[in-house]
Amino acid sequence: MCEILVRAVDGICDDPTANPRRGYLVVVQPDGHTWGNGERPPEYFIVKIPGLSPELTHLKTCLWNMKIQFVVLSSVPLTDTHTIKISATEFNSLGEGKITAAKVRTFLENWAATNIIGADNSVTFTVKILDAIQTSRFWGGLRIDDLFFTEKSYTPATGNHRIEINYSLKTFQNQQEKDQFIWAVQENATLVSHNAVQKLIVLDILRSKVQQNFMEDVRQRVEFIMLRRRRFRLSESAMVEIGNAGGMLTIDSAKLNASVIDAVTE
Amino acid sequence: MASLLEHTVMPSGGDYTSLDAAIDHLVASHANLVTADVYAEVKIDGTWSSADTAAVTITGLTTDATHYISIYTTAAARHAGIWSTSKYNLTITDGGALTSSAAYVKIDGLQIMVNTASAARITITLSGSKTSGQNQTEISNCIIRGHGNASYRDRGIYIGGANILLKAWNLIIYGISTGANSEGIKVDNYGGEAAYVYSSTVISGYEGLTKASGVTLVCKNVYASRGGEQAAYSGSPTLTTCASSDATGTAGLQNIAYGTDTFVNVTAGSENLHLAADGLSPLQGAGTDTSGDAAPMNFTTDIDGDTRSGTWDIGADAWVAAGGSTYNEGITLSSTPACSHNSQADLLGSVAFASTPALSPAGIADLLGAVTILSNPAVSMAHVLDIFPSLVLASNPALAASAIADFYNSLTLASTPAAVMAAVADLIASLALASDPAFAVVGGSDFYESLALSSSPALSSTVFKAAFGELSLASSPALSASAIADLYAAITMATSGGISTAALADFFIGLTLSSIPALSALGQIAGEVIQKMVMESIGVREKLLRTKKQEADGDIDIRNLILTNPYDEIAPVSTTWERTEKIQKDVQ
Repeated sequence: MCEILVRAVDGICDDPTANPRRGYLVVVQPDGHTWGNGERPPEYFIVKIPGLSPELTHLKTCLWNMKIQFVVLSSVPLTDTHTIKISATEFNSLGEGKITAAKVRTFLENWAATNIIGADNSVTFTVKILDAIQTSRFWGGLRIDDLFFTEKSYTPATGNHRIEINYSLKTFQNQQEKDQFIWAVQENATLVSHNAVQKLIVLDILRSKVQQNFMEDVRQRVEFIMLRRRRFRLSESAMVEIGNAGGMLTIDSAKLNASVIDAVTE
Repeated sequence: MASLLEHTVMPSGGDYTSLDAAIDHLVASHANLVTADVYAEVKIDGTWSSADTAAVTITGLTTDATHYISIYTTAAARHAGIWSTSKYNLTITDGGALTSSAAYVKIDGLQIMVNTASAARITITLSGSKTSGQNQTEISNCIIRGHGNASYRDRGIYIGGANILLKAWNLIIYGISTGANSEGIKVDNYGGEAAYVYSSTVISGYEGLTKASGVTLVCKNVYASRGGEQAAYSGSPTLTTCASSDATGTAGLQNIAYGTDTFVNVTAGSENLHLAADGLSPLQGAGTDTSGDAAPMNFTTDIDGDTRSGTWDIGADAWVAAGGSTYNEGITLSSTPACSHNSQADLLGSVAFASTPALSPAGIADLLGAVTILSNPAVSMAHVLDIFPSLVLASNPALAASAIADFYNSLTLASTPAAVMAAVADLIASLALASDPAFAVVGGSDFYESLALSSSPALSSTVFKAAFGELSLASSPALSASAIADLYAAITMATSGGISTAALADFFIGLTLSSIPALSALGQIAGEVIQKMVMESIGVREKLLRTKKQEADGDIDIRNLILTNPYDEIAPVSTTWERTEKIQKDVQ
């Protein structure tokens, strides 16, 4: 058995996605939990559910964040160019949770993406790996406008790009920036050779590393977007029933499931 | 001026029984702290027998520098620098534990962890774009644990939002998995993020602290450990006295292993990341005093409330030899002298001296240097007496000698002659010098060399008498003779012939040599030698004064001359036994 703290009244804050709303499942506690002085009507209701473990029910107190899926629609191995589609996997009939081109266009352009086409809950774009390598995003935000990249070779089978970087015009603003440059190279590439006199560095960079950095970047940028403070809430009819019972009601697991509304499915 | 809005979180009897419920209420009731002109404190109190399992989301609050939210534990609910299930802990299954997008938040004294994961998880996430100069999240004195599942990325603290400013100190972060891209602390680049991390311990299976290019990560007094071939510090953060398990820390503080030489316990699941109890952690005394930095980084305590003093230690814990709170490093010595003596003896008895001779003497000196001997002579004497029996020095003569010498160098004996005499006598009585001849000779010699007795003739002679009277040399004649010879040879008597002769006379009067005939004979011989020395004390003094001048002129090393027999000004003899024989013949 467990007991659930349910929000009984709406709150209002500047961020609508953070609003506490009536019906939200806030906290799950084991049966017999001694609730706090503030955890009672009129602000909160308590629902008791025999036979339901707190662990399972706990999942229903989570936030609603945007979730992204990647699909490679097509590839041209000769140029290592890929057309990718990203879409949101959790959205509702109101359109909450959907991804739009407007949300991600700038971000994708920073990855040298082209042909950015938005649709209902999807964005399709083309990325050439060699171009992506020459973006600041691939190098973790490093300033690279004074670096010159030359592709020395490319092996389609392995996706390895051998790149020569000329940094003779690179002006490091301080030692820290220089260290960052070295670190970024170590993190993202394999050193082949370095000519300190001519300031030429030759690196092997794998396609898979570019893909990894890209997907990581997208996830961090997009999947932290909170759509609602809670994903699950009790239906209004259930809330009325609990309120009529004085703010505390024992229901069974089946009724809980029938009464819980998933924001994704609204 | 903003007024206080307080909510309590307690297992029972408080306003809320979970932190998230308190935050939820706060957002619903006072979402805009600025217009309400309040600052909110969420006080976590009481005795906890189970975890708070509700993930916390601090979002939807409008705050500023004076209208902030502060979440903290009271002493009853606060950990003591070690994860405790009987203290407040926010333990989340398979999800982020705490997410904040509020501008001004303070979190102090919490335990926070993600205990399982079926996907990449972050224990604490700071997100949402901010305005530069108009936000500051403070996280202090917290224990933060990752899920440790190698299949998934695992992050202790993740900063990902434009212009977010984090100031963090006294954090212990561990349990971070070996999964790719796992980090103890990650500062991402959404534009302008900055994190200042001081006096923290970060143990990661992948990377310790890392930052993206173009953002700020400043670390002071941090210890970071990484796994595999990753880096303890990556992305070139700014480091000040930061130690590392690899080569990425501050020069001189690199390649310090994450092990029990450094911390109390590193066994997974039983971690105790206080500095090693023997006081020999390489992080001890290797840090920088940051108490002069701008607030809030001007803190002066460690994760469990011990005061940081002297040369600061690196990491979340400040090692203390005495005083403190609840952990065994924090034995309370001040209120009950009798208890204090025993506690200190127990503490020092736990020091392992044998394995690293070079380190041990310094360690002992540091330990004993922390003893406050001056204020109460009776307590001081008992301290010293209690401490030394607990030391096991016999196994390595060279070590023993150095340790004793270092110890005496650290004592401040000048202020109370009576206390000094009694302390020295008690100390000598507690030393077990008889059992190992080599130790006795070397230890005694080095010990006496280290005494600075020249400032007060009365003190010197009395101390000699009291000290030597306590030596138990009777069991081995050979030992006694050579020990006496070596001891005297080692005494620095150069500054005052009067002191020397009086001291020598007092010393021999104090010796009890009668129980073994052979020893008595030697003692008698020595006594006669001294008689003659007293007779010729003026001559001795003149010789010593000459010696001093020669030494001052750089012509001679005074110790070499003192090791010659001052009685007949013969050339140095090669061994103590030969010297004794020489004296014997001369008297006959």
